[in-house]
Amino acid sequence: MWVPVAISDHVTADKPLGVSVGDQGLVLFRDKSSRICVLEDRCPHRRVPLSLGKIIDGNLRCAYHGWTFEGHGGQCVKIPNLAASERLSPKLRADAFIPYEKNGFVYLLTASSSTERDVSVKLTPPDLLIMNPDLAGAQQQSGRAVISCSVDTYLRALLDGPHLLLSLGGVCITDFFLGDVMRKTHELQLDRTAIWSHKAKPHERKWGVSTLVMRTEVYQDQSSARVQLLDVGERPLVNILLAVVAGKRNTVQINWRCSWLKNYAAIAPWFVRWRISGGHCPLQLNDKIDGSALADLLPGPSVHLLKNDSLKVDVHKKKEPKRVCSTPPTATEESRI
Amino acid sequence: MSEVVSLAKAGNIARTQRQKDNWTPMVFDLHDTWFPIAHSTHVGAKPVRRALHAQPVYVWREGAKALAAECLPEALKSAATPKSAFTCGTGIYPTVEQYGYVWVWYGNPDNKDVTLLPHIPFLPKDGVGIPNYMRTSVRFDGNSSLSVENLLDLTHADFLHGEVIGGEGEAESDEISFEYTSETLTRVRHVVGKPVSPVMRWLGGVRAKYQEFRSTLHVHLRSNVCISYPRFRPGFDIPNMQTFVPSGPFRSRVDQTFSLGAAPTPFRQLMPRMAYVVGPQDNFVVRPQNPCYMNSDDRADQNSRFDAPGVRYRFLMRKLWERQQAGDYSYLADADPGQDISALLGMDK
Repeated sequence: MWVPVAISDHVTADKPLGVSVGDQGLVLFRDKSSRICVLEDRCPHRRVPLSLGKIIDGNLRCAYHGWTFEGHGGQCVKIPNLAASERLSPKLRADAFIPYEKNGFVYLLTASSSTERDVSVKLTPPDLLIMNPDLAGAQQQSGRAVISCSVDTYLRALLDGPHLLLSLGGVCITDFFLGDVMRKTHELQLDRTAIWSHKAKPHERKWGVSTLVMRTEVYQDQSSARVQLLDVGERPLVNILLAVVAGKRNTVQINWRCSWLKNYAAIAPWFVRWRISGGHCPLQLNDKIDGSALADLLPGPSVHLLKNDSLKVDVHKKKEPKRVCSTPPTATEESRI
Repeated sequence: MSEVVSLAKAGNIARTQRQKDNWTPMVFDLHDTWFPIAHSTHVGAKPVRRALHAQPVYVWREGAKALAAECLPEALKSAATPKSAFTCGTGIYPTVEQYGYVWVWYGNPDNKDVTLLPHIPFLPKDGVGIPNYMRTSVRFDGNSSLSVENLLDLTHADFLHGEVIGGEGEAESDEISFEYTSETLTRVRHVVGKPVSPVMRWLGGVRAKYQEFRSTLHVHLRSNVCISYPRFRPGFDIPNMQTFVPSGPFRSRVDQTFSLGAAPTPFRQLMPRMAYVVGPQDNFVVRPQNPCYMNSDDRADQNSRFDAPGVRYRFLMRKLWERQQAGDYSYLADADPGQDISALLGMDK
């Protein structure tokens, strides 16, 4: 399985980036030709995190004793003060990993068995996080947060109560679900109503006309999710991609990318327009979740999310009326089926 | 449980057969040695609390005499206060005061022997006349053995302490040699053509571009006492003593004493203060390094020729630990911790 561990733009040739997948520390950087390199975040010499080091000529130099490693195979290419005649053993190397850059994210291959590894290595990361083409030309920001809860808890809260995890400028996120969870090809999808906050009455008491929809999609492998704000015609206003990776000490690391369209700025309240015109992102990811609010969050749509890295099969699969067709389906119809 | 697939695991790189590493310095708890628990000047009538491995130590003075106990002085007489074999059930550790330190015997009190105290040739034995500005105390955010290794491989200084020591691996030649007994290890690093250290240039008035540097480090394995004699030419000698007192498995305390009587002012007064710059720089790497040595690892550390003393240090420490685990706390015939080390440090050259 490929997991998105970082946002492409955050990996530079100037400063190494330390990330983790579970307890595995990794360091990411770019070489001279801007290719992404991923090494274990541990110098094989004295186990100091390589992410504390410096990038020198496209190679990563450890902060402690200056051992320097190239990024693609992890080979040690320099030990300071060795004479020019002294050869470096090929055994001296850091563990290197296989990165894949796609859709603005850096993916790494994970596997729990050699069979899974052999299957997954032949595949590329899924096209799950492709930005909606309608959002081309939208403004965009990205960021990273580490949150003190597990991946499972985070994704469940994203379905049951996203208002605990994030806020969108000028938008009141409600827990009035529009139907139930829908199972799509690769994701669970849930719609809920949202209201412009300046127009919102206390929605638990007085229900007015809501003009917004918030759509949450959690992808099959539970490594990513998308939150969209849609207008009344279900056109996207804001698109948020969340790459979700387990971190150390049972935390969750979120690499997020938020894009917002002109029509969001056009119809948002004045104070939101004013803020985003100053370069502020409408998304605020809450990296300090209120523990008591999280504990009190009633289970809802998240019951369809299983722990075993997959989505519950046949959840609310729509029963379609049996098609009575006198003529064979056309090619287009066939592909739809 | 999924793990990230490395190139080696995916078969793209032939994985080097690595030896399993059983270097877990946190378990080492070597007995029957003197630990310099505190600067003499830090000990007064009011008790100060320290730790030796997991043992609590309270140090105070009664009149001129320094005392060390397992508990606060008022709890000493109480039968309810637990007292260990380290004090033969009396609560009081054997204590001696030398070289400006209060030394505490850690081990079986019946084995205590003042001739086992290290010899420090550049400090007055009675501790009299050491100016206060020559003393510093810093914390080390690592196990005491890792802290000693930090000193043994001085190539780190070029990268971590560049602005104090100077240079980033630029030297004409850099040679390492060492000698050892079952209780001590002495490492000599000889660097030729090293850029003059900034601290020596700006505080010591050394105007040459390059200098020769000979650093001798004498390590007492049981107590982690490090006696260091760096010599810079042109420049000065910076003899110093560093105590890596193990305050449990995760931290150590360093009470440093310099002997810079021959160096000019203001170098003499300011150089010891550099410990407050250098200490945090070391902790920057040692702090995250420390947890990586909590358990044995399936991958042994890789080494260069600069690590030869460090590799020998690990070997000697293991040997000593194994011997003590088998109940042998004695000093072997080749070991004389109290011997005169002036020549070993290169003071006479």
